[in-house]
Parts: sequence; C-alpha cells; structure tokens
Amino acid sequence: MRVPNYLSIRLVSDMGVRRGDGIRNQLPRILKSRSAFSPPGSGISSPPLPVYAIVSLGCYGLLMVGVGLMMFPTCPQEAVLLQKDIVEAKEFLKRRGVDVGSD
Amino acid sequence: MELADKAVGFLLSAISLSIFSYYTFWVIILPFVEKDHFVHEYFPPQEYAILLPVFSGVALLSFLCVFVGFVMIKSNKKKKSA
Repeated sequence: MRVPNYLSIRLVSDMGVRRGDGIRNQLPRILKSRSAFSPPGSGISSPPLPVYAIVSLGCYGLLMVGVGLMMFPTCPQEAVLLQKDIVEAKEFLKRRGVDVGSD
Repeated sequence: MELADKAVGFLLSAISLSIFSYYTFWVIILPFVEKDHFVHEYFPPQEYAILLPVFSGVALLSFLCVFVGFVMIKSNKKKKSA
C-alpha cells in the first residue's frame, strides 16, 4: 500500500526519531534512557562533580607551572659573574693539582 | 634562553585555561541549556565528560608504572652485568 509523503513523515516523527539522528544522537539513547547529568530540581545529585574537581585541580597545577615559568627571574649579570667564578676556581684548583674534569 | 622559557610557560597556561573553560562549560553550564540550542553541536555527549578524564588518568598512571618498571629492570640488568 502506498503511503502518501506527509503521512510517512508523521509516522517517523511519532516513533521518536528526530532529525539529525546520527550516531551522536543515538549514543545517549543506547547507553541510558535519560540525560546523564540532570539539572537541579529533579532531586538527583550530579555525578560529574568529583571528576570535575580532579580535572580542575590538574588544570590549576598546570597553570601555576606555566605562570611560574613565565615569571622566572633570570639575572644575566649574576650569570656572567658565575661563569667568571667557575673559570677562576678551575684554574686555581688545576694549579694546586686537583683534577678538574671536563674541557 | 628566557624567551623560550616564557613561550613554553605561556603555552602551558593557555592550554590549561582552555581545557578548564571548555570542561567547565561542558559539565556545569550545558545541563541548563535547553536541548534544541545550537551550542550542543560543539560538545560531545555528556557521558564522555566523565569517560574522557578517567580514561586519560588511567592511561597516565599506567604509563608511569610502565616507565618505573622499565627503569628498574634496566638498573637491575646493569647491576647484574657490572
């Protein structure tokens, strides 16, 4: 029997199939019957908050590391002085007969 | 190379801020948005908001364990051969 076009559209929408029904829309229905996190007022506590706390802690740690890296104080004058001190010490020790390793 | 340090630090903080804001929006704000809004297209379904961090945490822990075991085996082998 030949169903007219508008009736077939009504039948499809009555079965609960929505437009854009790819795997992304079907996956929640396959996994569960209701949405994973329900907003308050439904009497159900929200499951993702502990995982959210852990993720935000990790993000905070990463942010502090990045900020510390950005604001690390380099002292160019002290670096030059340090290199000079190292050369001087190596010369001194070599003169006294101590084995001063590299180069 | 302080410029390289600053660049790496900036990259790290940018990555952490973007991950934090995306995840916050995904977990906290999206349940209150009605289902037909277009912004739902930009986020995976909400089960993945738990699966993804748990999965990456498990992967990180297993990588750490494998690395520690690898270093231990290598040091044992060196001690046995020396």
